[in-house]
Amino acid sequence: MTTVSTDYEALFRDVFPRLVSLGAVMTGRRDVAHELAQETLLRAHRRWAEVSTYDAPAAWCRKVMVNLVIDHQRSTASERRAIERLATAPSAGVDAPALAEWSRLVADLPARQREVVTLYYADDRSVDEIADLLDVSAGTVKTTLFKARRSLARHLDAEGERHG
Amino acid sequence: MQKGNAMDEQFRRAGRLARAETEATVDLDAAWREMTARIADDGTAVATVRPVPSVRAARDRRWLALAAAAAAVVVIAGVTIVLSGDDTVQTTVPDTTTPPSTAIVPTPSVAPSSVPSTAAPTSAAPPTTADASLGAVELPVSYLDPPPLAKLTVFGSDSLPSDDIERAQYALGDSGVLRVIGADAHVIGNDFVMRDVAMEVPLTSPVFGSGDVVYGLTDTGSGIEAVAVSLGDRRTGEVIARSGALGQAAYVELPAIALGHGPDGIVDLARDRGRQLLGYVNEDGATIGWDGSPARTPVVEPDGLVVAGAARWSLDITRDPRWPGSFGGDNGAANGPSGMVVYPTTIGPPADPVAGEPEATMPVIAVLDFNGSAATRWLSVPEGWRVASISPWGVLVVRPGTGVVELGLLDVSAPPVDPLTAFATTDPGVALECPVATTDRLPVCASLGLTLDDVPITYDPATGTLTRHDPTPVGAVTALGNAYIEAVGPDDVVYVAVLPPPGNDPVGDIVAVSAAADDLGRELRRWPGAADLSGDSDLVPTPDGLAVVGCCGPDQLRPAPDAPVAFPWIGRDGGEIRADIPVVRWDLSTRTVTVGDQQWELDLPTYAGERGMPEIVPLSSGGFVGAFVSADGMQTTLVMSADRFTSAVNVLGYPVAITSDGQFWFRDERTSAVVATWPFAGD
Repeated sequence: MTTVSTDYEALFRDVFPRLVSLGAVMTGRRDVAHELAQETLLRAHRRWAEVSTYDAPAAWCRKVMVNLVIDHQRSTASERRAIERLATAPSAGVDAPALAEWSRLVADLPARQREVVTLYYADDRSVDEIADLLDVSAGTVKTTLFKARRSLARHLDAEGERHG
Repeated sequence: MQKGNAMDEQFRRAGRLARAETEATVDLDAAWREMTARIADDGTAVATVRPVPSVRAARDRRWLALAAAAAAVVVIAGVTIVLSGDDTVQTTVPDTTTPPSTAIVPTPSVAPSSVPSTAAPTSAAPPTTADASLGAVELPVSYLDPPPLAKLTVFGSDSLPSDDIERAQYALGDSGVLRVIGADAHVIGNDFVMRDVAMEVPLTSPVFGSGDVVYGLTDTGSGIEAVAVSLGDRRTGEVIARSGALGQAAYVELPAIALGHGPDGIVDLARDRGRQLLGYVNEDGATIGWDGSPARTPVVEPDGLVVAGAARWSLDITRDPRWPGSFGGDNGAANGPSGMVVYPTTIGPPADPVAGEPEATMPVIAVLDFNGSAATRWLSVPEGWRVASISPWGVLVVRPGTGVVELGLLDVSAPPVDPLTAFATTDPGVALECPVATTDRLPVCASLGLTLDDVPITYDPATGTLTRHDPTPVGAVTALGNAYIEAVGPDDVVYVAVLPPPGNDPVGDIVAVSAAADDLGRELRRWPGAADLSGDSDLVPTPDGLAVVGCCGPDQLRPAPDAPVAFPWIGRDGGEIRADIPVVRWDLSTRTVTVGDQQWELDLPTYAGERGMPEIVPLSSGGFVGAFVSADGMQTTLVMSADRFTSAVNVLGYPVAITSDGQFWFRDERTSAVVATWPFAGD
């Protein structure tokens, strides 16, 4: 009987929660994030002979995860599958107030700005790292981030006026 | 403080909280079983574990709870400090230096830092709202939503051998603080005159006062009984009143708040609840009436109902599922200051789950006001502190350390710690308007910087006006446009970052402008396109100028010793000058703050690692204020003085400036006015 590599299991246990949380803040959905994190690590297993030789297999997984999330934004296939698995549609925000709050804060941003802002604030990535993850130039990331921050400032200001 | 810092921190915190919350819900074992099943289905390996059912288990609320609890636990992170004045790093303890001149200096000694407020109590108010109500006042508390912090005043530290720290019990009376270890009593007077008293019998669960009398429990060999011991001159140390045997088993292990002050004497709060054990006596043993005695004895019933006379409060306590309980049983509710009843407990997980008798985290107190309404509430006790004594003179809290116990008082009457309301002490007379521009409908906020002498300088991009408030505002209109104050350097020169027009790349100019009264607004030098406005780097003041710190690795020491000084300080004559300010560094790997030749090694167990440079502001006293973010997004702000730890608090909101003497300035979003506050009691 073939067993799963203990090294792979160690990687899985190390990165899976972080991949789920990254996917959750990018999509606003924990169930979808769970599904995409599983898919990411399944791909890692398929290529384990190669991935296991990388200096930072976790970084490889993060990049795959980000790509899957971006793909997910364009397709609802993963979501449909997740819903089928869960049998019921998730209730975002009911038992995840912090995730709901984050999703609310970035809800009005265009998709690319939301991706950049999420990687920047919630994943603590630098401009260069974000550029690498999204396969764009650092200048593009800076400009996107700059625009996003202006929009967020306006959003917060409007909120302040409503409450004040 | 950079413009946008508050927003950046808000988003960073929100993101981290969302991630921490999500990670806490991951059932890793179930996920691994699911993965091995997928791998088996995928044909890339044969899993040794059978697949799980296709429907995932319902989310376990407990895990969510743990995430929230973890967030709350770090509201005040435990902090240990190692100081160094030179190359040698030493373990230090809070200040135990020169005692007051009037003090008799025994060993161990107490070092006061301010006099505790132990004003004579007033009699409990006559029953009003709560008393009149037949139904109980509902008072819920949950570890998922911890209550606001009580205001804490640290007033002294008690040095004693480490072996004695766990045995020491403290009581707050009208004449000071009493420490009891066995038969040794140590009185710390309100005037900080200290004296030792050898008591006739060993005492536990001490209750101090009124007057020079301590009440407590003692084991006579044939049973436990309550006694009163005189601390007065004539019969010092003698037992002057006895209750008779109370029964052995029930009183062997007791919670911290087991006895308290009742209407006519000392009452049992933890076992035979509400029973008076001894009447009040004077220091010679004569029975006395006490005008200031509480009107009633509060009793905590098993279902969480607190009854005091006709008043009833229903304490609905939701504790962390891992809450370890209390070895000595539940605390009693005791008559506290200002006629209020105070009930201390804990609601968090254990600090050390593998400890033999684990102590719970998240200490809280219920403050129950007979007058009902606003003063009745739950408050959090700063983490690491525990309630040692509740009396009509106050709520005494202690924080044991290595060879020292810090002493503090909780102000149960004060509003919770909110820098905009609780600590506002001065009005700097500065407003930071934040109008929305007519062109792109974006907010254009005024910014603020402080000169090295703490003179506020503001810049209003809506009008281009640079204003010096010294204290009369004097303004000069500039052509800087949409810009904000990045820093203020020596010679009263302000460094302004000019934003690019909308649609352009996020790079801007840095402009050195005079902020001196006689040539306010005069441009001294401009670095075109030199400012990275993406937020991916910080500018940190150094003696030579503003150095760049990148957001992320590899530098563990920030600013790196070879970090480029992107913008040297400019004098008003246009030449480059140095600033008489200390070098500030943050060593990410060792959690060490360096300010000049002083070092503080901080123990921040949940520290997240910081983007760029954490906010570290040197104080004129030689210490610093530092803000550090934990993994779940909570921010712990520390004040360190040159020779000892001073305080730690979760500051609500983000200051627009911190003065060199430690004042925090906040912008009141409602009025745009700047409010100066002292959020650190006891400093």
